[in-house]
Amino acid sequence: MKILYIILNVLKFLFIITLVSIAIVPFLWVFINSFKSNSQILSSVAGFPDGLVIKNYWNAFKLAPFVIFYRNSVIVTVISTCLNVFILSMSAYVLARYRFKFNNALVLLFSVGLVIPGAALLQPLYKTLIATSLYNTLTGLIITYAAFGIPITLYIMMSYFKTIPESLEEAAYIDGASFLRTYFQIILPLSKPALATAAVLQFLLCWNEFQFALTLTKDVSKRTLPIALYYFKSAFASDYGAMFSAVILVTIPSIIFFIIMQKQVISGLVAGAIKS
Amino acid sequence: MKIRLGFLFLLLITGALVFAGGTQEEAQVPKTVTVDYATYRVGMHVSAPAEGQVLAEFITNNKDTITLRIEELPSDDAYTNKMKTLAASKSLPHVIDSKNGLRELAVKNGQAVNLIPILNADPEWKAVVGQGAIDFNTGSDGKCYSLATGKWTLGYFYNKEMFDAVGIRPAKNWDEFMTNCAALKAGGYTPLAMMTGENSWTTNLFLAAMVGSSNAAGNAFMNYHYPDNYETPEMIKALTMMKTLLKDYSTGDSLGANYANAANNFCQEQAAMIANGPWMIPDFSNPEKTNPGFDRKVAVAMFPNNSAVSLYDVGYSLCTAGESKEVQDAAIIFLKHMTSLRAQEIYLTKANMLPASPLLVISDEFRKDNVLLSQLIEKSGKTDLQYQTFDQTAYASVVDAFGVYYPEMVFDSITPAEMAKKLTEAALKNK
Amino acid sequence: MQNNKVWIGIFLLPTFLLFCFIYLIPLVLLFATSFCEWTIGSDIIFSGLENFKQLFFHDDSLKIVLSNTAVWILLQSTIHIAIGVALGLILSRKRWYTDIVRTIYIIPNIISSAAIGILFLCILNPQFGMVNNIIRRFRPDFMHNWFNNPSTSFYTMTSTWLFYAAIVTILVMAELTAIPKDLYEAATIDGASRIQIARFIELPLLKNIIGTTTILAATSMLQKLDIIIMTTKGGPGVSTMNMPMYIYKTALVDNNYGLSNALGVLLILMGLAIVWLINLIYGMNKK
Repeated sequence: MKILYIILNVLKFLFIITLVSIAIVPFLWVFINSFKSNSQILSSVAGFPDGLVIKNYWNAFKLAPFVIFYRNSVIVTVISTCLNVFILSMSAYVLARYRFKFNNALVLLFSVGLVIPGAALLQPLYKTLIATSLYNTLTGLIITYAAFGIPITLYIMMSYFKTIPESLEEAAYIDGASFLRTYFQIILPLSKPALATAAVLQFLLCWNEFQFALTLTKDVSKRTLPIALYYFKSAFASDYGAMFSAVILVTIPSIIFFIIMQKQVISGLVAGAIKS
Repeated sequence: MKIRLGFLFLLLITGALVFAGGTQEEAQVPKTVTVDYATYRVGMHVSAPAEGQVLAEFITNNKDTITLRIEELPSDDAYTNKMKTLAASKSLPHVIDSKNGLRELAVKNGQAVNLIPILNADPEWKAVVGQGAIDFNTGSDGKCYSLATGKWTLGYFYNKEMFDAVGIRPAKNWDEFMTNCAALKAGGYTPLAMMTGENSWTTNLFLAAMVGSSNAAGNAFMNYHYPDNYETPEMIKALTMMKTLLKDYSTGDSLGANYANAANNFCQEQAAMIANGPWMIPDFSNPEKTNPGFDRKVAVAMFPNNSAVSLYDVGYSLCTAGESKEVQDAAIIFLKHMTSLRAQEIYLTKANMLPASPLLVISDEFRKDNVLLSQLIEKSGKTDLQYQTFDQTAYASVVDAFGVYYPEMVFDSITPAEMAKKLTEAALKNK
Repeated sequence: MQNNKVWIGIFLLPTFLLFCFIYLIPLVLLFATSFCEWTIGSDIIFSGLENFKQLFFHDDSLKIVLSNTAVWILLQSTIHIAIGVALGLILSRKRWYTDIVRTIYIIPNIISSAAIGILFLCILNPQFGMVNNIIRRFRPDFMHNWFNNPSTSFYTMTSTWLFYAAIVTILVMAELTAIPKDLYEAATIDGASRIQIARFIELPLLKNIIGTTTILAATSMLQKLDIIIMTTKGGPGVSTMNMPMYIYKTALVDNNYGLSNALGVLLILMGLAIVWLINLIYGMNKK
């Protein structure tokens, strides 16, 4: 029994270490190389940079309008994430809790967002936004991304709401609480872990989306961060150092956001809040 | 409490949405005519500084009459994809760089304007553009939908030090070229910096040279736009030769490599030859990319059989059909600026792009400062055969197919003849 | 309860409107033009079943493309999910390393797929890439082109996403917080081992979220595009071509919107069938 326990523990740590290393090594490689010059990257194999050369970061800032893109990305991501999580958690609640005629049909309809090919959306969406004068606006991007996140947020929230015992609401109704009050005061606070998880995923979607950001905007003043990466991918360009520092610049905010949010993901329930 | 918070939140979102939308409308009401232009020459693109200056000069010169609205589309793919989405919606910008088949789409959707009448109305401008450039982009129907600003002449660059070390000189014919490669390999050098990622650029330049300098039929093939059939004896022979080059004489990462890989391999002295244009020359003395003194080791050669890639670029199209007279006129003024002698001079000095205009004389002083470029001009002037690139003559679907089928051919999954068949199929898929 | 009906409507309406605004027109257009001849710049002409005939009878690549997509979906909804759930269960027991492991493990899912593409391209570069350099320590002459050798391209591509299951992990962990503590206490008092707790208490309660993550993971394979564009473009040949890449290529390289929308119809039907099937397997529609 003891031996089995040890073996299992060893296996467990091997498993964790493998996953952690395949996750961190590529990122570290890019991080280290973002401080190297082009020739160093291509000649030295895995070594560390000669000195802390931040020239690449300078170049990156000079070549692409990072500041504007950062600002826009923050606006789009924050508003779109709030919007998406707010309205989707409401819909997910009634879809998970109540049986009505089109319940399953609606879930299936909203799932279409998971499977519709992006290439088929590009041109019609461009025309839709032109027609509603939302083309080349941050609002257009906010709405588009909020819609792109429909299925994922819906599934996450529905799945979580189903774990909350119905007795909670029944008790609330007996106490005379209204529908709205029950949802906002009892259900939502209990769902913090799921809300936070959905927010993280929606954040990543908005923060990283490239194709639609490019197609649905026109002016540099309306564009978002992922486009900055492509300023380093032009034909006949060959500066890896600047490209890697751009990757780091785009990625760091997401990592910070996740570190902040992960407390929420876990801190969810007060022990014993759900007792049947 | 919580309920009110929820509503407050909703209000906040609505407010923010209105705000985000509102800022858009605040943009000043233009009193001038607005001309739309889209460009991929931004960020790290080699011509970004040159075009930046050309556009800045236009904006200063016309600030009272024309507002130039520039859409930046970094990277070739981003540019082409967005232009295609716009073409499908019949809303291309007024002036576009119509490479990668965009000119044909602009003609098809009815936005492109035939430039011949406009050229004839302004003989001075017509002389600047040059009859050669006009004829090159004029179709069999006598209509011209794009104007070139650059004349591309290219051969390949080679590392003199490596060539001297194994005692060879640039090959006069393709048999000698293969022996040269063998000699370099025997001497411990990798002969070629190739790539099959992106548009297979450095690889396909050699392939174009093999086909275009093989015989009359091959040369005609490489000067014919949008062929539907790649199963010609010249193509198959060239692909067979290319298979050997990629398999035995290229850098280890050439399959799937992007331009950056190929260029760095040559600049880092990992390969003896690279086929490319004069815009690469400044890299040879760039300390970020090369070791000191590298530029003195590089020389330029024409392709075997004394031949060179030579073409005018596709250039700019005017997509103002159906627009108001004011917009059309303003767009023409912009087009004239982009094709002017001044613009071409900036491109020459800042980006090493050879001008299309016959009127632009390259000064002796410039030649003295740019030895390699002068050598290129001089040697290309003496070539017997000229041909174009696959990027110019083939559909985008074919250029794409090159990239995905080269690895299969090199790893013996398909034969060169089968690869030619795949290219034909790709050509037929293009719409 | 009558009152609730109104609230149900109000709670559903914003999502419904948002969905219609963004998806309705494209969906209608997609289905309608899959029966039409439509190329970029030309008018839309009705052509009946031509596009589908072309796909089913004259397209040799489609079979490989479909099978690639199916294999990737299968791998993603089994191995990928298993890794994510296992890690979620391990990390649910709060230890000093929990937060660090979770943060590091999610990094590849955080980075934009364009950046991931560049990253893998560099790490797997046959010449200066990290992987080959490590192998060369043991076998100095080693040279292998991971992405472009047809014998490994499919597996190389798979490995760029299969093991990165952090999204599954955080979803599982979020759900585990909802399990009442007294259940654990009772089990521990009864002398249940950690594995028994996982097997008999946690996994049954996680059924819903595992079903959900399976749906998300499986359908993500119907959207996987950026990383393929950045690395192999579906090559060599069609060995790493999946449906989204094929659709992208048909629409934006071949300019054939009609045909790509016919492929889009196939993709949507395939996707909905998968969603339905997973729902059935995990019994997620039951209360």
